[in-house]
Amino acid sequence: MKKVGDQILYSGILVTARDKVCARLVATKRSPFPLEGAIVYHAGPVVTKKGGRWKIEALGPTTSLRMEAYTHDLMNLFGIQGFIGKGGLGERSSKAFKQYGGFYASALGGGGQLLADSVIQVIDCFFLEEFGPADAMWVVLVKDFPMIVTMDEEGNSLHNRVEKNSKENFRKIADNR
Amino acid sequence: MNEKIYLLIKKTTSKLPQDLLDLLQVALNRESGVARDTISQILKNSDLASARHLPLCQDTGVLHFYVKRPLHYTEAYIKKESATAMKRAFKEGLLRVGSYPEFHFEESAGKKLEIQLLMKGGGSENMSFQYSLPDTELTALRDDDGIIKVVLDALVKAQGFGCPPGIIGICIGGDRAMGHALSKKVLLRNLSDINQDARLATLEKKIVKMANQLGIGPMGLGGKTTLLAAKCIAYQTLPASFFVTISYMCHAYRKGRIVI
Repeated sequence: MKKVGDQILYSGILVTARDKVCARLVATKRSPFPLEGAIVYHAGPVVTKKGGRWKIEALGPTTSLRMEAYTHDLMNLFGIQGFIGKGGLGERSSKAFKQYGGFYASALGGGGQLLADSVIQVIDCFFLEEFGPADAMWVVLVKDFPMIVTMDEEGNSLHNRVEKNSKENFRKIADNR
Repeated sequence: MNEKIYLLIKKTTSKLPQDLLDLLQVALNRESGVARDTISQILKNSDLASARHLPLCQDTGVLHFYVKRPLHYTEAYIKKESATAMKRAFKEGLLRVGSYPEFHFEESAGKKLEIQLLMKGGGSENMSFQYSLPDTELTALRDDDGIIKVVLDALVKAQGFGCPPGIIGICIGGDRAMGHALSKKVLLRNLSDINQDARLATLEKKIVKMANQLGIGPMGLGGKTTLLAAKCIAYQTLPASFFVTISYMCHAYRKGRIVI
């Protein structure tokens, strides 16, 4: 079980899905790529095509909270095991992680090169013509993708902790002047 | 000219400015644990991007071109040359599909054309906020204490979503549109400079000190470094209005300048 604080170098498949793809998957209840046990990465890459093959030039995460509404359904419909992004997800997602046994991991925001480096191969791409490269579903094979678990299946959230703490600090310094 | 603008884009998208790198180094030395690891990653990413001339961040954002043009250069010409430069940049993976330009023109009495480029992504833009003082909910009046309060509130709202530790531009005054415009433009300043206005200089220092007491830290995962710098500008305002506008800039602080 992945716990908040676990620093992981993930090797395996990542499936990118952000605003448009998440909405489409939930609306149609269908996926062009099998997502059972998959890890979804909230990201939209910079890509180029070299010799007929796609190359990922930059692959940092996008703000996950925009996709908050989809977590529960994506896990329920497709059996997705976890999500990677930046900034964390909300209460409903946390409940879904408890219910289905999932996690959320944070990857470096703005880590375009660092994270693109972990990509060994672009396996496939879906919704490319319809959504464009930044919004498409990219299936990539990665090695040693660095991430830190910040939400786990026991309801722990580092984001909640930091936020609560920052609000307390704000009250303290705002009133102490 | 399009060649020079293309090179400006190439450099800006891939190379962090020295003033930011200096502040990140200070942050690295002050942090430990996950916060320190995060700053390390930021610096490693910076090394890789700079060596490869590839984007630091995949959100290559809106390209804000701040142009001081002698009158023999028309706006139309500069826009056309920029479009040519951008087309090439897209092709080479220096910009992501979806990035687009915004031009801010100023006439220059001199002979030289100056172009400053600020690339600002959506994540940080989403964390920019505008407050109207007095703010009764926050008990913020139209004084320096009130300004500081709303700025800190904005940072608390932003948490890690805008990819801290970055910098913020603050405009005190102006109408709503000017507040957003100037708080963004002030992001072009050299981060190590000191505001010529003593009151604003003090405000800038205070804000950074207090921001770092919030404990939000790099990427909002906790730590001592939530903000690297704050740059303020004051502008005229009507008696009825008092806006404080905060432009949030992430650690992928991409700015560049050429003079032609």
